[in-house]
Amino acid sequence: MPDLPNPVDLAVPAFVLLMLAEIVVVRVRALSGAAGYEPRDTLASLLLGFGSTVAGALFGGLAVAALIWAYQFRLFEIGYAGWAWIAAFVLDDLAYYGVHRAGHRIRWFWAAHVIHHSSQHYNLSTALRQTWTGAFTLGLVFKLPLVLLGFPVPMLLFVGGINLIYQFWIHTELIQRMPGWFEAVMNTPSHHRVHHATNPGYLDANYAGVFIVWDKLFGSFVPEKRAGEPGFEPIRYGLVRQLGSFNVLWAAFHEWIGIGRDVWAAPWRAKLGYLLREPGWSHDASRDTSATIKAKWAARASYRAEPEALPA
Amino acid sequence: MNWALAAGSLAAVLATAGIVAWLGLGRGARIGEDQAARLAEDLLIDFHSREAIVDRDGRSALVRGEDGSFALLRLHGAHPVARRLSAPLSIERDGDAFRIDAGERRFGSTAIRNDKLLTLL
Repeated sequence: MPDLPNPVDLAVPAFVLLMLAEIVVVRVRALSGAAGYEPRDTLASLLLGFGSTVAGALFGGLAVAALIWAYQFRLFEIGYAGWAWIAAFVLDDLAYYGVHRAGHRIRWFWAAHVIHHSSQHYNLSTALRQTWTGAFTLGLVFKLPLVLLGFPVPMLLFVGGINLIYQFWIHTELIQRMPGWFEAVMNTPSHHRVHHATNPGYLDANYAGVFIVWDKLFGSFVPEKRAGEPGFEPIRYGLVRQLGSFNVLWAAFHEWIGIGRDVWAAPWRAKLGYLLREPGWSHDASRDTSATIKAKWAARASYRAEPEALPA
Repeated sequence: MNWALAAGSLAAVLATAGIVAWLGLGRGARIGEDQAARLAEDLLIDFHSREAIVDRDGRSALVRGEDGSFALLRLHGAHPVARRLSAPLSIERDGDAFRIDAGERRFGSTAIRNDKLLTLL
């Protein structure tokens, strides 16, 4: 078994340099009134990223151990052939699509992933706002089929790291559009801005890691509207219910605390729903899910349009 | 865990945030008089604004909705956050400001300096 490096560790200096370059460009262009970065938000994002590496060191071994254990039940001996690296990268990205989609549609998974969406900014520091509690979800079940097919675990960890590195550069407002062929196949800043948006029309879209084709294949792709297009509105990033706090511990654990409170207070028949249903679900329908938000938004859009539609 | 990498990362974290502060990024945002009502509707999906009072420094606003509820807005760094509140509001006088409690410990209270606020209630 080869001793592969963690590519994310090797990429850290590049992350820092690119972030500094983005900061300078934001300052020079005075983008959004130079609101592209905010010191407390940046500090929170980077501390959350740092905490994520600590959490990974503490708990990441559990998931790796589980995958290594499962490897003994593999169907094929794939090994480290050249084609296997490419296949592993593509299939791992498909697995990422699955775990990421689950991260938005199952509250238990969302509790771990929400940290990444908790900034109201969208810049390279946001990319580093990574989970502390991912090991406490069952995200690894999405990687399990690859292990059982026979892809070596170190290979999967390595391509997973490359996947994460790829996703760094797409967290920026500085790049509007890539060339058409690239936008058609790959995840890009434009596609991922939609994913981070709280505008109702953009909710629950573009779960891709590297290849946007998965969203197109599974019906979750939404293109970003350009200024001047019908229905265009500036993107609002973050959470539907913004935290209003720069406290990193609150950002990391607020949803877990919310789940705990809801499960405790709910009637027995509804307890599991607060863990396994979509974020915003409640047994008495007193809260909004992304589906109800979209429905209200559509109703409001027609309400606003109605007076104009009436004849004078 | 690579301790040298961890120490270097932590130093880079503090330095980067320091540079952002030194360059003065994220300052100067404000909520405009004509912006508050629309913001409330954008941030709270089923809220329909009737009238708004904005803090004289543009840091916060209170918007009354058509159904009698209120939207409390305030800048959180460079971007606005909102909470929907029901009447009666929990308001305290704090010097020349009115301090409105959102009922959430983490969200805290929001100061609005504008004497017209009372006309909204």
